[in-house]
Amino acid sequence: MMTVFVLATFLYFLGMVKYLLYLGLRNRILFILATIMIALGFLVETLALVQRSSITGHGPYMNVFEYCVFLAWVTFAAFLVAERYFKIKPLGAFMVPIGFLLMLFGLLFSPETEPSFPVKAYWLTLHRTLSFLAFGAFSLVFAAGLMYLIQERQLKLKNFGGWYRRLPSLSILDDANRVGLVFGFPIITVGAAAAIVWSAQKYGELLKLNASTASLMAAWGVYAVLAFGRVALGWRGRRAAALGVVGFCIVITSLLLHLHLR
Amino acid sequence: MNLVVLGLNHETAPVELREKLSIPENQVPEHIRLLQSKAPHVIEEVILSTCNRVEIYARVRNITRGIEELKRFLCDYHEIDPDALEKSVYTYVLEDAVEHLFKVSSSLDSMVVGEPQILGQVKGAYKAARELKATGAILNNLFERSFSVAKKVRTETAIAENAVSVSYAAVELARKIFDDLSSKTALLIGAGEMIELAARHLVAQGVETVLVSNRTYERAVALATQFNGEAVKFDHLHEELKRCDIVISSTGAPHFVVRRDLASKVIAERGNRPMFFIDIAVPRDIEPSVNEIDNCYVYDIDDLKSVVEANMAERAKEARKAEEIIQREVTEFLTWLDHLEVAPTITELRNRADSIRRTEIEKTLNRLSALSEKDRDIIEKMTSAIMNKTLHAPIVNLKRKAETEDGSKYLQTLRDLFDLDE
Repeated sequence: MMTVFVLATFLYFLGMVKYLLYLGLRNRILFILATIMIALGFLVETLALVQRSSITGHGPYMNVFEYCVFLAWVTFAAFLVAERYFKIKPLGAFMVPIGFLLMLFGLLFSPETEPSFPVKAYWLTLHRTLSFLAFGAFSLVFAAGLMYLIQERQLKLKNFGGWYRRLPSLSILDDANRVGLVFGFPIITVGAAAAIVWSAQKYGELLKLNASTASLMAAWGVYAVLAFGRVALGWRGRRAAALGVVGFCIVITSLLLHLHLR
Repeated sequence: MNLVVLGLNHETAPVELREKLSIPENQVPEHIRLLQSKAPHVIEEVILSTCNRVEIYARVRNITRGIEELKRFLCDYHEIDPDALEKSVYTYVLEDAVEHLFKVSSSLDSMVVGEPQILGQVKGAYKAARELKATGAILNNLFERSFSVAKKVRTETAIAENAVSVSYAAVELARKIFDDLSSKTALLIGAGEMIELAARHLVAQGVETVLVSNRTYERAVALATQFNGEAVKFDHLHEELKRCDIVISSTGAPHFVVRRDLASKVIAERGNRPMFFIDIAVPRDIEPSVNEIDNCYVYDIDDLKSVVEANMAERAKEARKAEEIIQREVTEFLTWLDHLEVAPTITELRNRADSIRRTEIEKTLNRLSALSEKDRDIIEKMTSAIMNKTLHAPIVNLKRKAETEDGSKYLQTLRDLFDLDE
């Protein structure tokens, strides 16, 4: 079963290399091949996840390995949808490495599960599932935000070089950033609420404060500020993009802490 | 196959000479007919005449004589001193001629590399010649191929992707900010040729509303009617700015027309929707520090020029990619031409027939084992004679026909009939 995950990682790797090459060379065929590789890798990983779940009897969020490959999976899912929808050609060079690194990181850990938590915890499962889905959306917010910041710099400083040519318009990047937030923020909010309910049921307190939950709350806070700013204060452009990037960095940090603490 | 190009272009000839030699579109047929009657060594010809070049593409019986006739034709008809022509004219033969046409069609030889008009002009020239039956299989294939090469260059390189004029650079920048320009509103402050040109480009790209503001209201009205837009009072600039995404300014004012504090107020009132200022005026109309406000982008005339320069450099880079494509295509065309050469075709035909003869002889002689050495020799000679006599007439006729206009057609037909290309 592991070999299937390795195969998926390899396909992702090929796709990533092609996307990075495409960014440099802008050859149409490279782009098409890259998308095919990622789609294939995604298909292979989907089958692997389904098969694994049917064997273990639980969703893929029981150990570091499962965490990482599942996070990669949602990242690629978000990427494939976003690429088709927004037609941002350099998006692959920004989002695919995130997914690939997660796969690679996951493969470093043993896939053996040791159910340290009660498997049938409805609220916890809900929290986990939603948090994963939100991660996919936020990886789009991050990638689009980063690209926005780069392109905005080029336009403000009047650098008409490679980045200016390769990256799409600010308007599309701002759109992608906004759409990612529109999906991600409600999902993570419900997910966080589920975690609180679960915590209340299990430990009798609403929140067990530790480094991991604190940083997760910080990330939620950043996205909350971003969502509020966008909706109520009419934020857009650079500020929104920068917050999206910061938020994702906090998410990654909290994730690492979370995995480390387990 | 004797292909030649003779001509002159913007790099080799001054405009005084080019305008003398240039042939108006409606006179091209007349020139082709004249060339057909006066140049016996020219078999096929296409005349390409644009404001930057006059060129004759031809297949000739003899290269030196053909070129002489073409030169004489140009001089005689336009009454030009042969020495003056000699200084400016260039000639390319064989593969260089093929390469030259591919470059011209792909716009690599143009004054503005990558400009799109030239392909249409080459197509027009070819069509005119073809209608007069001045082209045969060779030039037809050469020109058709040059069109597909041009298309390849256009799709596989970014040679024509970027703006190379200042007014179009403004459109390119607008698209990098807004993506889609439809439903956008543009405000023109002031008047002038540049502002009109930029506005025209923007409208062509779908800008929905054009507002015009001028110190003299009547002038604003006049310009506004050109773009189906509306004239607005100069004193109401603040109010009007709010609904404008793109502002092009070119007034003669000695001070800033849009100051930083005004711009930051306006951008807040617009809910931070981006604004793009194009400042064509000298002295400038838009305070440069407006560019520091979030979601405001200010470009003055020098910035637009540097976009154009960067794009020109990019085109030059893409042109190198294009030349690689062209080299490959030239080789491919030459391979096709080689197939049409008479001598190798005749050899191939003989070999084909001879190999059939040998196989059959061998089969027959194996069965007639009682024959003496002498008898065998007689049979061998007889079959050779049959083969040679059968092939004699076709070969002689082919050699004769090859010299005529339809030569390549005969050659190709023969290759098809005998499956020589299998």
